[in-house]
Amino acid sequence: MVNLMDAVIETLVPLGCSAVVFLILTAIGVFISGRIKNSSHRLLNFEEYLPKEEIQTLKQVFYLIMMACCFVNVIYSLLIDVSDVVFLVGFDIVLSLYIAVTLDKSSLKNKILWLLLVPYASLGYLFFFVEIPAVIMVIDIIHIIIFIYFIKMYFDKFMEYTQSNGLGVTIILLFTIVFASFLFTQVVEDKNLIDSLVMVSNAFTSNGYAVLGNSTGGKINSLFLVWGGYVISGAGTATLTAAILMKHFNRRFRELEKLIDEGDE
Amino acid sequence: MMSDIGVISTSAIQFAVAFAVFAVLYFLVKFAKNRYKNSPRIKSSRFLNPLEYLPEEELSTIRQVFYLIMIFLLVIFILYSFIYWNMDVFYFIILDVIVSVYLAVNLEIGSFKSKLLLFFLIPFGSITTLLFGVSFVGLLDIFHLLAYLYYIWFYYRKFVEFTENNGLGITIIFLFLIIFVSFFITMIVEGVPPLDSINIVSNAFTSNGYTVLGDSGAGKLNAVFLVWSGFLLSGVGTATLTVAIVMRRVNGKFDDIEEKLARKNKKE
Repeated sequence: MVNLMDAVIETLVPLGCSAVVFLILTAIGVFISGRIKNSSHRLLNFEEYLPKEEIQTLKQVFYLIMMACCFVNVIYSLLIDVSDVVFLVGFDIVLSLYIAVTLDKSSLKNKILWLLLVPYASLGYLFFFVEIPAVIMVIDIIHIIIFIYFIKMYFDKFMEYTQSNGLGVTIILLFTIVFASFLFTQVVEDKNLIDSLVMVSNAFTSNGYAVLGNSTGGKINSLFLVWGGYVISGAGTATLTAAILMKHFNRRFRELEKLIDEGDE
Repeated sequence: MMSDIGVISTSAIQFAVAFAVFAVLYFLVKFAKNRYKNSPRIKSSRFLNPLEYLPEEELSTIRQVFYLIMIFLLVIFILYSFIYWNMDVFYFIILDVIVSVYLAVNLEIGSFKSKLLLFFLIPFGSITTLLFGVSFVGLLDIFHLLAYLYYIWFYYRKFVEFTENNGLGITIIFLFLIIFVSFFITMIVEGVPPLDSINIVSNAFTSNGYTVLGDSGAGKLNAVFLVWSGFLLSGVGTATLTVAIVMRRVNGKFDDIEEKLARKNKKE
């Protein structure tokens, strides 16, 4: 009886602590995101950096990336035996936290969703246990399955955003190629999650179908660099082309306006 | 004498099995193709309409590229059949079967010539090698190669016809020539098999470096697909973004001029 009580306490306390830690992290995240959203600082305005059309495309990409992240979290947590556990734990916590911070928590349904978003097993692994108890594993399965709901949610958001802004769906083509190759490379080249993503990103952005970077941090940094370069080089070329064309068109427009004005006189 | 009969009967069985395998694949793909073509849901789907993804001009170029790629693939198949490279044979076999089934499914069967061509398209060598190892049935591949030679000519004709009918430029031939010539040069001077050569050439052309990237055959093929997709989509993305920026700015100017003209018309 005492042993059972001990076991219950040993499970419940970490569960409660995980929820509290996640609640604090969510509160900090909400505070920071609120500050960023309400700030009118020029440096935080994306339209200062990139053309409006590029930002719209990036927003589409963002929804697709979130879908892919949720998918990867489900697949790796449920189906695949992962060697890099610390990386997956960190990924699960960061992803859950981001969704929790951006989730509208006013309705009861979303409050329940928040509770299920708490990565009990990942936080437990990080702070309390070497081996996760069965009860927490069961709760974690629900936590993981909840990401299927978020895949659907982000897809709906993507469609809504695409339709309401009259955007094309070319980005789906890019994303499908990269995502399918990401899964394919893991199998045929026998690489882990991060190495496969690095290889595919490098190949697509003309850096070579190879893992570049030695540490996990370096590889993640390389991902930002290669995609950053890809986006900015495209935006830079487009802006320059547009500027050259506009210079030509402006001259023609001035001539046209002059002709109209002369006709008036 | 007995062993000769044994070889003949074994070859006959292998021939029948290869024929049956190809027939099954042919009917399966044909069935799927018909279902796909006749499904109203697929016809009206936004996600399955290429025009939703790429501009019409890019699709025309891709169609040109497709004909050239088919010519290129068929040349590689012929090369692989005559020269033995001690690697990548498995992927070559799979690709040979896929291309043969694709060509067969798209062949309009009616005349004797088309029926003969369909028979020649059966990759006996590849299927029997895959199922039984090297066999005498593979000798029938000489007819298969003749079919491929015919298709090289067929796709070249299609390329010319499509280019002329749509008033397209032939810059793509320039790109393709560079790749094609470099592919052969690389194979010879670097002493690498075709798959490695196309990997090296694709990497170099798309700024990924003049080297083989990827360890497995499938990985190398995936790398070739990725580097060209990146090359194509980065061009499409940049062009689309340019058009969007120019359109946004020019539209404002047009509005001003329209307003001016309207005012002028009112005065008159």
